Amino acid sequence: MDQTRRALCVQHLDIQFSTPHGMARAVQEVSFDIHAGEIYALVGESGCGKTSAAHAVMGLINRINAPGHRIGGRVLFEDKDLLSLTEEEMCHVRGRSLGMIFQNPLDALNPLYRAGYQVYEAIVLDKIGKIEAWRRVAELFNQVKLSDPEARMRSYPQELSGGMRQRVMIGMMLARNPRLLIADEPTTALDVTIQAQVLELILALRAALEMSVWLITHDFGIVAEIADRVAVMYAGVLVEEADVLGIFDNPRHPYTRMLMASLPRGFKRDGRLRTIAGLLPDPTLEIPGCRFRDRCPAKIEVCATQAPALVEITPGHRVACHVAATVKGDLPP
Amino acid sequence: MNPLVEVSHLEKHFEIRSGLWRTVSSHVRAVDDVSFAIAAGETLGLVGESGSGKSTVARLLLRLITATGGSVRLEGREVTTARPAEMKALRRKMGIVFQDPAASMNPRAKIKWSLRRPLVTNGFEHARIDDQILAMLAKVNLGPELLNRYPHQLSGGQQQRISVARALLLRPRLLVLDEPTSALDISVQAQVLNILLDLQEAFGLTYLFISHDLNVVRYVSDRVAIMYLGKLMEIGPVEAVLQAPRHPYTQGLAASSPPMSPHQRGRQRVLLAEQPPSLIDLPTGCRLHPRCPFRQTICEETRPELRELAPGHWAACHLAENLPAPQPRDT
Repeated sequence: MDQTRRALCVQHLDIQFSTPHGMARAVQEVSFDIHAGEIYALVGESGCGKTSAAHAVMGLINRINAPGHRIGGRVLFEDKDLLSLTEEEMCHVRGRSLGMIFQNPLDALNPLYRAGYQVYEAIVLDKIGKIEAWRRVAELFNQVKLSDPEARMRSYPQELSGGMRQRVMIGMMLARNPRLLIADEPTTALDVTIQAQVLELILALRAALEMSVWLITHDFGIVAEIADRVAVMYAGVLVEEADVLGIFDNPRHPYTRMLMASLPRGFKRDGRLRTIAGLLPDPTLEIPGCRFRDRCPAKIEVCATQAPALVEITPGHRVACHVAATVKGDLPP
Repeated sequence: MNPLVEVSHLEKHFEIRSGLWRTVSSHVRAVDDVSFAIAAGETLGLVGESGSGKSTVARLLLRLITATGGSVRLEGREVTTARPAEMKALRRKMGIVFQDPAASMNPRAKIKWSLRRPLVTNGFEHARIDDQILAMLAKVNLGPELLNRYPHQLSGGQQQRISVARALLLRPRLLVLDEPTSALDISVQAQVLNILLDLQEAFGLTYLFISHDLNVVRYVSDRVAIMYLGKLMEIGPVEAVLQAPRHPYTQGLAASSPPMSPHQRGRQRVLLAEQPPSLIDLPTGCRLHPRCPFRQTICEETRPELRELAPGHWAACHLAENLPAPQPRDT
């Protein structure tokens, strides 16, 4: 992995949506880099802003689906700021260098066209001859390990199983050799045996094509399985970022620590799970201080007035917490 | 063991009709010759992938759908053929919680209305109804202020706790939980699981806990049953089945399920090949054989029956004694 080359650089990304109750801040001042060739996981519970961040990067938030939205900050990709591109320029980036797969592949595929044709469409954009393009479709169906690729190319999306549909989506996305794959909950709708196959495929393709993967998920199991680095989001804020071992073995932010403790790991006799009391803060309210404060068992006075900045506490491990930033050894449970 | 629920040779076949006269052209064997028992006060975890028939078993237990064959007994009384009056009495002894709590409540009625329904229908005194509801709400850690809200004004965790409270209002013996936490966030899932375990202790409840998440099932269950394409593959104590599985399907399931820590990445994995076959056109012999890495000729010809390999630990595999021992899984 090349640590020095950055595949994507997100700086001070800020997203606000217009709601009947005022502007809601979905993402607040989020900054992170994705290195070339790595799998970077963005983890968080529903409503934390992880999908909004990905949609903003892909240019999928527009005047029609989110009237009155505001996006601030910069997203650097291949020396361009994606947020300043016009829709036409963005179209050239999407697909060619930036690919995205979604949670439900059936929503992303057109039920009226055969699976092969939908991948073919993505290939002929490159002004490749028809015969050559169809050959490439067959190649891609082989590459994503679809069994009996010839038959699968002639199938309609609804004739394929969930795992096969996600493979078709990955094939379509690979058609134009992207540098970065954004995978938003790619296996949430799949059974575990199929999920394992799709994760293996993502790992194999990452190695073969040297692409970076931005994985968005709520499932720490998937993170433990394939991620290189992990960022945890809470209520629109990036609260902790470290390599995968750092997050699992030495989580520093109280939210990450409580989330880890709420995962069922043992048996009934091992005692009850840790829970996080309280609810997410209202995104339309401007909250002074730390957004996790009301639910945090470790809070101190300064948490009420000052929002903690994301600071590097050990090399490669960043935490946005006043307590974790000052305490070096063991943290309160 | 004193079984509260006894299921024997349970079958549910759905008809597939086709052609001009809608004649029955084939059957889907959603549940095929399934037998198990649940002791009073225990939790049986039921695990399987989509299409394995686990939710169909739940619906058959409560007779929400009628069985094609076999029997379900609750406290020794037959459920599948009970007459309406007897069925009403039996239904009071069992409750169910579904995966999507919002879909199992009337969106246009206040929570109070949804919670009163089971008590009103069963002829409880009006004066006592509200007290009972408030007492049950307290058991699921919710306050009375929620009673005047509508389902959409509640968070997912609150909705699911209301579903649990509603299912328990009639003080059932058996609670069927069909993927109760699959739609919830991790921290909320922990709240609901804790409450379910507390309630089981407080009321001596018996649970049938259906889930596809092995970590959740390991945490709540005393015994676990594994289903694949309508058949029981393995059943036994939770430690035995999930830590040292004897059936290749359970081994594949355990290996596919994501690890608890990145340190387990290099673990030995038995990955099941391909996709599950169609339920209409089932493989001969053992249903797993097209996907099984250990298959032999006998697996294609003869259907394996459940055999007791260790006390209380049953598996339906011809080769169970001769399989390579799977690596024990840390938790």
